[in-house]
Amino acid sequence: MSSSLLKISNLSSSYGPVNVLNKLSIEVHAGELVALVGANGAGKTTLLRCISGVQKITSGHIYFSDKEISHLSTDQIVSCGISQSPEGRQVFAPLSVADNLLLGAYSLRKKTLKTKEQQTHAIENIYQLFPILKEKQAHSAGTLSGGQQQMLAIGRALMAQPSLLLLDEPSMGLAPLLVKEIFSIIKKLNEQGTTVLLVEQNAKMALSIANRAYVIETGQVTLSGNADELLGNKAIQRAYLGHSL
Amino acid sequence: MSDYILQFLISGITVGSIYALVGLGFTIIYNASDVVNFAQGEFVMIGAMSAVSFSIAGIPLIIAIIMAMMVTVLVGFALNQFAIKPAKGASVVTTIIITIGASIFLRGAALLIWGKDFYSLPAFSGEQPIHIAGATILPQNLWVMGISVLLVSAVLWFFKYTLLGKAILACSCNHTAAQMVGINVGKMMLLSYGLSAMLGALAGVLIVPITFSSYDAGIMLGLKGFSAAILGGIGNPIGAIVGGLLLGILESLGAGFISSGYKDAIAFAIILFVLFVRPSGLLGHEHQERV
Amino acid sequence: MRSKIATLLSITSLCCSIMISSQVYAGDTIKIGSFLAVTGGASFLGDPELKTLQMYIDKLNKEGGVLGKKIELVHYDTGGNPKKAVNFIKRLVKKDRVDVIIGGSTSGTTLAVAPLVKKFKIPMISLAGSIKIVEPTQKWLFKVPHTDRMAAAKVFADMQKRGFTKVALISGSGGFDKSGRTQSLALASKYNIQIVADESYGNKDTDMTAQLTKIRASDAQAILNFGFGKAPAIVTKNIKQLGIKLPIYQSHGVASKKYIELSGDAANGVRLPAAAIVVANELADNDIQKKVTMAYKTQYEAKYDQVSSFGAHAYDALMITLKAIKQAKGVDKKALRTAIERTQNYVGAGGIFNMSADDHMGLKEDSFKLLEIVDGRWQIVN
Ligand SMILES: Nc1ncnc2c1ncn2[C@@H]1O[C@H](COP(=O)(O)OP(=O)(O)O)[C@@H](O)[C@H]1O
Ligand SMILES: [Mg+2]
Repeated sequence: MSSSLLKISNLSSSYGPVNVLNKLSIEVHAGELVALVGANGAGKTTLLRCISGVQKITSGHIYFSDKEISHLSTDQIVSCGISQSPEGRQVFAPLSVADNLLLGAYSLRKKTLKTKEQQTHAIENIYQLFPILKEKQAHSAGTLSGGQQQMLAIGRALMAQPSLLLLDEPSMGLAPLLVKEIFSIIKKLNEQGTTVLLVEQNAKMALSIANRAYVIETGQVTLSGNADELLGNKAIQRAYLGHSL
Repeated sequence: MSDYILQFLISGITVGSIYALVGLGFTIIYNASDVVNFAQGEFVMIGAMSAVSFSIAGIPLIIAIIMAMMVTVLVGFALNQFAIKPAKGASVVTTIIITIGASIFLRGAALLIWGKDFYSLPAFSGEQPIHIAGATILPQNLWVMGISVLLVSAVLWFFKYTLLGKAILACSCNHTAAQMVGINVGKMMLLSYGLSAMLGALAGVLIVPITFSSYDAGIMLGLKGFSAAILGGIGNPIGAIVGGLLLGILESLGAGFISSGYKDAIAFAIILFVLFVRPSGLLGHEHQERV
Repeated sequence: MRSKIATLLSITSLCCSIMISSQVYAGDTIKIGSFLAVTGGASFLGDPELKTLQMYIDKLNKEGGVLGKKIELVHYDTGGNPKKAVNFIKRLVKKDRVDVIIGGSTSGTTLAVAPLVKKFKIPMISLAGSIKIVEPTQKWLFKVPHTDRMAAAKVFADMQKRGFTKVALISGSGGFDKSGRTQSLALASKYNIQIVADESYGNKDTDMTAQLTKIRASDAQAILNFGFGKAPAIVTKNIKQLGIKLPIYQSHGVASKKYIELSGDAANGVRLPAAAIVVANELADNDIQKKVTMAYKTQYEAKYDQVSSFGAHAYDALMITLKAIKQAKGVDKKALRTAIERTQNYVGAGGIFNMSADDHMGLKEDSFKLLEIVDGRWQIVN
């Protein structure tokens, strides 16, 4: 337990009467890149929403650095060091690219990103990662292309300087070349020390950069293991990798 | 003829400034919470009436005004806490009905406190009219216009240049995403109701020496402020200001050149026409991105 | 089944007995019905009217009532709505079985019920201003307030005395205002006065400078404003703002301290007709109305806020009714009606009433006093 950064045990959650997560348990160790794969509707997004505290849980526990966080509010969870790039990007469309990034550091406004210089410096770091965002910094986020919005969403999540980064379908709707680029950046972030929990339908890509992975079906973990092993698993290949790249 | 027009414009801009402030109040709450707050006019009334009460009690005008603002801000907080927040997730129509209910409640409370009489404040700096080019203007008109400009600039600055302002805007474009960057959406709601109540109170205090106030004065001002916000494009602060000034000037010119009996009708006909041509208002976004 | 019928029967008989007992009860009391605008836009009329009725009826009952009978007031709040007034009249007559009616507060509610009053053959004294209530005379309908025509006449007479021949008229959008405007337009020529501007405003309007700018450009020698509520105070302030130096006349609709308070300095020099009650303190000691107005004012202000002429109308209506009941020695509707119609030399708070078959109001023009506001106080102009 002590070595895991995030530990989820027996988590259940529902939309109304419909149970979406069913006693689900996973673990992410510090420094890992863990992939969460599964078909559409399996409950992956719901799980990430529970971790961030925007979705109510009906039972179970979420521990972060050995501290129970399942009853904290979202802004408190962000302050603990968990930030998320949500499914569908959800950038602040009318606000400028720079403002979107600035808001990403909202939780640090009284801590490490108090001054204008600190903020500018942090934003510059994101621009280094995604140079296109610098070019577009004054544009409103709604005018960006899908890929650029995805970069912005990731950049915004990074601005909180999280110890755990949650990424929900970063490849969704993107051209193959762009997907490669995004994935290589995720890999790089992880190598630089950020722990990543990556949700993907594009299982092959996800498994190719992950250390470990969980397969989720109807709100339960059906398989888990090292990414390489799962990549070689015949059942997986049939179920999830057949129609991916 | 030209001094006619100048005189009409002076009246129009004075009244329009107030409409703009009320419209801006609508915009702030709408932006933060998607709620069309029909109790906005009551903020204006409460601000004006409490300033009058404090002033009658012998409190110096400036302190009376600040106290009136604080009272109104508390009312705004209470509206959010006890009426809007419990109905979280309700449909737009439901929240509108809630705010209308709240406005009726506030009017009733005002009736109990202040009765049915009209009240006024002394003008801030005398009532000696100032003559300019054949038209006359009261010092209070200048106060209304001047402070409105200051307030509007302050609000625009707040939303454009402060992190807090941007955080409120973020709540308006996407609640979930705003939460996910660590913004306490509940706090932002509270803040925007307080801000909007404060604007309303100031509008009330500015205008009461000219138009007087009574427990039901909020109905008309609320309606006009709402029209201003709709005309300019609801959700757009600059739109609310343009809409308010335009509405004030249209009414004044309508009363002057056509007939006072039709001035509201003229103004509303023009609003309807604008909305027919541009359903999202003069400065509204063609496609509003809301999730 | 049988027990159900039994229950129904017993309920019905219970209802009957309640109705019978209430009728027996009605025989012991005199029932005065009333429908006033206690809430809504005209509440400044209905509110003091109802307070006055209640206060004096309570007082009377404590002193033993009239003809040995207690008086019961049955009141309904119309909110100024004529439709409600019609329903309330039906209820007052058919269900409450009142003997006489006082009300309503507004001309609209009064005129709406006039046909029913005729049909039910019940005497009613209205507290509303419009001349239409008593002209032409309707058998069962009376009123006590001065008419707007009398106000216009009083104002025009003073203008004529001061040598004005060209007058600008500005009026509000309410029934009172509109009726006042019509009467002023009709009456002006009689006083050799030409109306050179005829502007109007909405009663909720907050700025009348547009209309007054046009008046400024006319060749008027004086301005007459017919209106009530806050609007006349705004008109007064706007006139000052525009630097218009013409003498201002207002109607009796603004004869309250509130008007002076709201208008501030701008009110100085304004002239208006008003009932004696407004200037009870200022009346000469030998004025015939001094006693009655001071008595009413003292009574009312001991319990409530400032008196108004509106409450005084209710006072006059009640006193005329009570006198008539004594005269008729009961509440037979026909006898009561005749007794009201024969009211003579009743010195009331609103004037001296002399009613007749052709005059169901009974006030002369001189029952208005002409006032001028001097240093924020009323002064009677002679
Ligand atoms: N807002 C919602 N209301 C009701 N049901 C929902 C809602 N969001 C998702 N669901 C249901 O919950 C299940 C899991 O959805 P989700 O977590 O989005 O899956 P995934 O991200 O794995 O595709 C699906 O069956 C989906 O239909
Ligand atoms: Mg999903």
